[in-house]
Amino acid sequence: MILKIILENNRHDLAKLQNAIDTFTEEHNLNVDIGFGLNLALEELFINVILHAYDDRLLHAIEISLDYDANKITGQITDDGRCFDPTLHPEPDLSAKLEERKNGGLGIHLARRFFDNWKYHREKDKNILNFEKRLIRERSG
Amino acid sequence: MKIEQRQVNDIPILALHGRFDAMTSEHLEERLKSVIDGGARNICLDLNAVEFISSSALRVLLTSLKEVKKNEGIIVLAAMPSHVREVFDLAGFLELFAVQETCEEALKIFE
Repeated sequence: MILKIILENNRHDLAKLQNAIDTFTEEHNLNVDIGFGLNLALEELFINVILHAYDDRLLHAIEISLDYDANKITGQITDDGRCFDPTLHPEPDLSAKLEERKNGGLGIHLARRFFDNWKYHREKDKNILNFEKRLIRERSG
Repeated sequence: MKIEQRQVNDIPILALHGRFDAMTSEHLEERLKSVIDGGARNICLDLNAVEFISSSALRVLLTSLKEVKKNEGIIVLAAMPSHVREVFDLAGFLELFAVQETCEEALKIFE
């Protein structure tokens, strides 16, 4: 099943995203760790778009799709915000002392750690991020 | 999302329940700010019932930790479920906060 959801650039739409991911996770009988990770990674990317992609106060559509096969979950996030490639965003310095720790970059870092692959391209004034999470099935019997 | 607060030996213990995401983390921020503004130097967070946590909540905790450190205080993270612990680990936060298995053990630190 392909899940496709169009969200507004409004943080309250996070609830719609969470519901869609929970439904997707249940339908495909994915384990709780995958469900948790999907919720985390997609929230971080969605919120990052809302906070940083737009200079205006207009309504924008952010499209998220998820697809499943027995070995992996693939998906895509598309937005019409300013050009931004999260895959090139610098890693936060996780060894810095408390006083030097910065608030920025943590969300993208968490998303990066969840996905096995992610690839960005810009097409017709849109940011398109494709991602993949491999699934390791427990053996039955 | 729900935050229950109690006090043991002058140490505020905040028990966090449910989801702490970009929609709900501001409630955590308000509560921690009010506890710190009320003069608390040390705080214990009981994370046993946290179902989900994202970077929005981590940022709130980082800011609060910086605030209590100004008065040489600490924030103890107690009773973390494994999925929550993993997020703290990925964020490199386990080295910044005091971490204890239970609230009771956390309170011993302050004795």
